[in-house]
Amino acid sequence: MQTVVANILAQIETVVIGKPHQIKLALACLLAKGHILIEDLPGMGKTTLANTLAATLGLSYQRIQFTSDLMPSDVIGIAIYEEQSKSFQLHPGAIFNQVVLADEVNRASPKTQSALLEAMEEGRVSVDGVTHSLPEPFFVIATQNPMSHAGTYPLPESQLDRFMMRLSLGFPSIAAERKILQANSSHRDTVAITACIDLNQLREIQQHIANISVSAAIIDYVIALCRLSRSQDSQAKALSPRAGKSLLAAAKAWAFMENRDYVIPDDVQAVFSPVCEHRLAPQQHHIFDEANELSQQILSQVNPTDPLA
Amino acid sequence: MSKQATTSRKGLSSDSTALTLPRKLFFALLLLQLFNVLTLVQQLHPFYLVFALAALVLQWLGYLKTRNHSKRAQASLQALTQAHSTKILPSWLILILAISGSVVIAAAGKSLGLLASMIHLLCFAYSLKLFEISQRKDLYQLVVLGVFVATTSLIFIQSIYFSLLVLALVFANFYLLLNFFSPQRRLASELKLLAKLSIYSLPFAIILFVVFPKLTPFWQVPNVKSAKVGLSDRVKIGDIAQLALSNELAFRVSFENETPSHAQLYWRAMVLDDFDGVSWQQAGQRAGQHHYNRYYGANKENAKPSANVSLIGDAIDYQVIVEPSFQSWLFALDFATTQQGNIGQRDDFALFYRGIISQTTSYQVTSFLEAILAPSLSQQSRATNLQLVTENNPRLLAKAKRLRQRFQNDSELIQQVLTDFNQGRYFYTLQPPPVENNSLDQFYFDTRAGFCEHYASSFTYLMRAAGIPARLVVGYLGGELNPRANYLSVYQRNAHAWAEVWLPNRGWQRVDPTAAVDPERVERGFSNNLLQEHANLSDSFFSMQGLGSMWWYQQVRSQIDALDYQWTRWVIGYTGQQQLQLWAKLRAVFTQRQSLGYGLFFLLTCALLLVYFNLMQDKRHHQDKIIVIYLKTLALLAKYSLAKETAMTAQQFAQKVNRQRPELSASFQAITDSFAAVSYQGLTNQQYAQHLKAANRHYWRLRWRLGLTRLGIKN
Repeated sequence: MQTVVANILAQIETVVIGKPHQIKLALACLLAKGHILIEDLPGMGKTTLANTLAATLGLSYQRIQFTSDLMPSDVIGIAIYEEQSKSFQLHPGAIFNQVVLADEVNRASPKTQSALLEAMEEGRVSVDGVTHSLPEPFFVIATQNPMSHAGTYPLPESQLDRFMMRLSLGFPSIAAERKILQANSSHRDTVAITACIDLNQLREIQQHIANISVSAAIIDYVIALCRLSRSQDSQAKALSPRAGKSLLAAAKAWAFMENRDYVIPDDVQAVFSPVCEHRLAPQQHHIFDEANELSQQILSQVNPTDPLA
Repeated sequence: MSKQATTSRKGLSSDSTALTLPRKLFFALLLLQLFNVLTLVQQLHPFYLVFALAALVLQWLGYLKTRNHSKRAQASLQALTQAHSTKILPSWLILILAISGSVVIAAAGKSLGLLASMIHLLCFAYSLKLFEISQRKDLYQLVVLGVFVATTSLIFIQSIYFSLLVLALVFANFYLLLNFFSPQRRLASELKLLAKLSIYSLPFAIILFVVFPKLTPFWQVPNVKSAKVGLSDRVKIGDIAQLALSNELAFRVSFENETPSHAQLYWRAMVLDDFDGVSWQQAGQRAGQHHYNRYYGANKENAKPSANVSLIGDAIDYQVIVEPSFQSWLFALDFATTQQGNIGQRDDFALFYRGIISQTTSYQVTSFLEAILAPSLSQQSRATNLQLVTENNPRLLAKAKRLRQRFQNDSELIQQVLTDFNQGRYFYTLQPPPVENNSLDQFYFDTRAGFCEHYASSFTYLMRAAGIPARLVVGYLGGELNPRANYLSVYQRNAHAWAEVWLPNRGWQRVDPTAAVDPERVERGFSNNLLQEHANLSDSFFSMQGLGSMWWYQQVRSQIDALDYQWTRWVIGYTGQQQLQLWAKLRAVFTQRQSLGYGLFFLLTCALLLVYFNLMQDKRHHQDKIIVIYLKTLALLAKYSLAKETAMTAQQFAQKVNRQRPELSASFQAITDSFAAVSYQGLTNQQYAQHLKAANRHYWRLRWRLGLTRLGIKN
């Protein structure tokens, strides 16, 4: 299983150059059955990453470009009367895929956004009173531009909370940028990417991750981190128990990728910022300023070896 | 800039030699110096006191001047510092003062005595040092000197209240010292630190108090006899009535078993057997014949051969704690023996201290109340106790002759005299009417009103005139029992005089004519009439009658007195003698094998409890041994400036250790791995045991290595 994961990572790295950590986080998120929000400036490779991830996992995939006039029915689908069967039949929208890339999700109107996000949480959609299950597994990879950009509708806290992680890619290093500029390839070449994993293998891995053991000490650590965000003098928004659950799930996936079958505090620390920053400070994102993140401040105040002391 | 200004206003500038003192601290320094010197105010010469006050005032004025000066000049910080360092007195003047002052003290040394001149020198240096504060260390010296001055006063006054006062003063001094060291601390934290340090030092203080050899002082405590109220070795009638007006404490007694009844509590102080017609004193003293009274050791073995006593009846044991009387006689019930070497016994059975009682002194006495004193009387002694000056009291002499003719039997004669006292309208009073030339005749036949010494004197005179050897004994009668602590307080107002007659075969017999006049005085103490008189006469604000009858006043008084007694008994009374006894007891305990076993068992239990307590403390948060070892290792490394930052995980810290101290890495990594395994991975019992063993081993290896590096040995 570890070799599969290594292959996936290696393949994505050939396309998204110089960002192994972010790739690893994104993969961990998907393995932990979480949705990803990628937030960055235009042209930083958000869509490339999302595309490559979907293609590599070998899942059915569709991309929706969110615009201000996108309607909920464009995402979910619409029921149309069919002559032969004399009944309304659902014409499924883009969401009925295993991987959905919601590009520039904050450009759509709140109504459309919430249609997508409800589907993400429930795993099913209702059209005209009929409930339809979404395929399994189901991932949403959303990208968005920073809040300050024109023509955006910021996602409210409740909807941000649905994403397990929020990632930023950031500017590439000199070496990486040189490589990007020298390469002749463009988006279209990603089509050449082959699936490295099949559905059974993916399910197996997800099952394995769910079984990774979490000791009481780790639970304590997570609790301590959450409680600190809830303390009186904290500037951050409080972390909910769901945030704690997401943190644990992501840490398990990370532990799996580190080739361990138990979680250590280092795993929690590795995923803490992407999992929690958008929950702690939903309306701001210091994309290139990790040190100022609220999550880093919280992390620096909890002693992992003696968390509840 | 502003920040700098605040810090140096609040603190002391330590970098420069010139010293700035905040106003509050400076004022506190002066105030404490004043208090420290005031503790010795009774001992210090007025000249010195004036000098000390002048020095303080000069300091204060000098401080104000420099402050105003610097204000006017709008001086910068630097200038302010310099302004403060300008000296109030030039150093040559200080030198001249120091030399001349020392010469004056040395010259006055003869009249002051060694101790007082030393104290004057100390205080003089203390006052002068104030003018010479240029560096921080001078401040520390000054404060420590102050502590020394304040505690010196305990040589002279040892009451619990004064001691507490001095203790508070010492703490105030320490508080000031703490402020010099760390001016930024908050009041609460300073007090906390002070309390913590005091608690830490308390065991040492107790151990030193108990164990450190008590040396007898090499100085002579000045004799302040004149200021003291108490018995005198020369008694004429009216003296004791005067003494009975004093409420001052004379001594305190605690009986090992039951306290004898009031009528048995005749505390013998001294025997006066030489009467010159006016006053009584000890025989031989008049002629300067000190050798006349032979002295003995006062132990029981000496009693028979030397003092001529047959010891019969039960012995009672008690401890007497005597207040400083600046005399040498001691107080005990007849017949008294004691094992203490510094106490002697005259051949008239009175105990005396070999030296002057200038401090509260305690001694242990064993008394035989039924002993027969001197069954046989030497010729010389008989002659002394029959000696009579016949000129002054012819009427008594005649009465004695008549009585002798009437009664051949001594006992009957004595009985008749007592009956006369009882039925002859004699009156017992604290205010005897004045008699001419202390005439016993006038008292016995005319005024018929007197205090105990009137009756005892005339009785003794009558006895001698009738040919019965007799003498006057002065001491104290009774005492007040404090029910809380079960001890007896004897005050000066309990002073008493009685008579002793020698009868063949029965030895010296105590006869108290007072009992015939006022039986209540002997049975219970002062009668109500006498109390009333006492209240009228003594000028004390808390007169016995008014306040004394209020129960709460009595309660409080007896409580306070009990406290003072315990203090006197255990702290002041703990002398070299007690120390030796304690050591002897301890040695006796340790030579017994059984008790040695008990002692070891006790120590072992203590050690085990300590270890258990320590473990419990560690386990309060973590039951797990490996985690405890890991946390212990962290604490250990922190001591060697390898501290784990809060957010560091175990692995991250292990990497840091590896980078900074590669030689420790192997052991620490092993401990970290065990910790991680038990915390995060979960282990089987067998694995756990292995990890625990390994962690323990590595922990000790790490300690060893760190210890070696501390010693400078690298490996």
